[in-house]
Amino acid sequence: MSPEGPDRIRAVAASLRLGMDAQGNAAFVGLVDWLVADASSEPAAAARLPQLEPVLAEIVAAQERGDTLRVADVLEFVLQPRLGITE
Amino acid sequence: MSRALDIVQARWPELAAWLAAAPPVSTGLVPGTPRAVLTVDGIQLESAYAPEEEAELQARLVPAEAMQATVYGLAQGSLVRTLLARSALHQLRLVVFNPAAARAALLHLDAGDWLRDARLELVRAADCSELEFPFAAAPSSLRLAADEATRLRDLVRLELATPYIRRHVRAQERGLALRLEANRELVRRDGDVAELFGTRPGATLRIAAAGPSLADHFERLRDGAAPLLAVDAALGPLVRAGILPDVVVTVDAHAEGPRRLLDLPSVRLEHGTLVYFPGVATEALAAWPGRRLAAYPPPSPGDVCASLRAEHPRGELFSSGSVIHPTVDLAVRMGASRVELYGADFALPGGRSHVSGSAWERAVEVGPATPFVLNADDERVPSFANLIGYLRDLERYLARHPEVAFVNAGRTGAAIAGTVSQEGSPDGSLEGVHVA
Repeated sequence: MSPEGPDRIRAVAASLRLGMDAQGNAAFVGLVDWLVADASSEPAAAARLPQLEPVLAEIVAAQERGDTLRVADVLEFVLQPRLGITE
Repeated sequence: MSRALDIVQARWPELAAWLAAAPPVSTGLVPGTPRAVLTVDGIQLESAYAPEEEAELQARLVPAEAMQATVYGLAQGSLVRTLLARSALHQLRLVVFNPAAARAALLHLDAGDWLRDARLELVRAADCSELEFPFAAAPSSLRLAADEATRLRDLVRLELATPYIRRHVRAQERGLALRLEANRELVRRDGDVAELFGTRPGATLRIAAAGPSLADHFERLRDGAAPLLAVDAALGPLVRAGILPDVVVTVDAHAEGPRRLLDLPSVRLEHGTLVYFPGVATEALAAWPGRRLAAYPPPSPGDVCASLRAEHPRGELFSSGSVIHPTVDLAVRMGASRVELYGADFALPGGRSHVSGSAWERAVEVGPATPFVLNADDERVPSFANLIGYLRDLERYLARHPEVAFVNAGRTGAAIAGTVSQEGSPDGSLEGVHVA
C-alpha cells in the first residue's frame, strides 16, 4: 500500500475527532474509493479484502448509530494495522 | 456519590440537581480496547486508544495564547483537562449538553482533579443562546445532546463545518464565474430587485417554501388574502394547485436546478416577477415569461460577483445557502410588518424531502444517526445537516429584525426561533399574531 493510505485514514479520523462530520464523511468516501482502486491494482491488497470484512462491518455499524469516535478509532487502530500500513 | 459528583455538588449545586434529576441512560465500556472508555446509548465518549492525543487535537481549535475558552461537551473530561493544563488560560467554560450522559461520565471518572480548578465554570447548554469563541468540542457530547440543547448543538456543528463549506463553495466558483459572464447582458437588461424594496409598507406577506408541509396550506393560500412570494422549488406544486405567486425567487447556481424548477406553462406565469441571483442558469432565466429583477448576495471575501456588481449594481438580499434566506429578506425589504412562512420545514416530515410534486421531492431513509430538529410540539423530526444549518442561519436573521412579526404556519416541520405558530392566534387564522 502506498503512503497515501495513512494520510487518508488520518484525515478522516482527525475530522471526525474534531466534530467536523461533513468534512470527515467526504474524506471517508474518498478513502473507500481509494481502497477499492488500490485493491483493483494490487493483487496483495485484493487478497486482504476478505479479512477486512468484519472491520468494515464494524465501521458501517458505528456510522449508522452516529458513533463517529468509534469510526475514527477503528480506522486508525484496527483497520490501518490490518492493511499493513506502518508509519 | 462519586468524588467528581461531590465536587460538582459543592461548586455548582443547581447544576448538580439538574444532573441528579436526569433519567437513567444505558452505559457500558468499549470492549477490547486499551483504555476504559464509557459508552452512553451506544456512543463512545472519547478515543479508547489514544484519548490524550485526541484531546490535544481537539484543543488545537483554541489558540495557545487564549486567556478564555469554551468547551462544548464534557465527554469523559480529557479535552477539559488538556486545556486546563495551559497556564495562559484564565477561564474555561464547560457546556454540558446532556445531564444523563454527564452524570454517567462523572460517576465513571476516578478522580475529578480538573473539576476543582478555579478557572472552570460548568453551565447548561440550554442557558447558552449563542456560541462563545474560541471553542473546542467533544463530538460524542454533541451526538448525545438532549432535546433542550439541540439549537446550541446545531450552532456548534455549523461553525465546525463552515471551513469545509467555504472550501466547497470556492471549488465551484470557476463554474459560477463563467455563468455570471454568460448572464452579464441579461442582468444589464433586467430590472433591479430594489424596485420592490419599500413597496409594501406594513403589509402581511406570505412566503411559500418547498417543505412537505406546504401542501397542507394550499387551501389557505388560494384565498389570495396577501401577496405570495415563493421559492423556486415550490413553484410547480403551487401552480398545479391553482396558486400563482406574485414573486418567485431563484438563486441556485446548480446547472440543472432552476431549469427543472421553473419549467412550467408560461401562460400562467407571465404576470409573475422572477427575482434571481446572476449565477442561475441562463436558459432558465431566459425562459421566464414575466418580469425579471436581478439581485446579489452581500459581497464576501473574494467576491466572485465583484465585476458584475460594479458594472450593474443591483439590490442585495441576505443569503446563507438556501433560497429561503433571500426570499424572507425580500419580504422584509418590501416593508412587511408581518411575514407568514408556509412549508418552511427545514426537516423531513413524513420522510419526504420536499412538497409533493416538487422536482426535487424524494423519500428519505431515516436511521439512528439521522440529524433531527424539534417541531412545534417538541417532537423530533428527522432532517439533513444542511437544512439545520439553513434553519439556524434564518433564526439569526430573524433575531436581527424584531420590527417584523414572523409566523410559522406549519407544525410538522422545525420550530423556528423568532416565529410564533399559527395556533398562537386566538382563532387560528394567523391574524393578530405577534411575536412575544
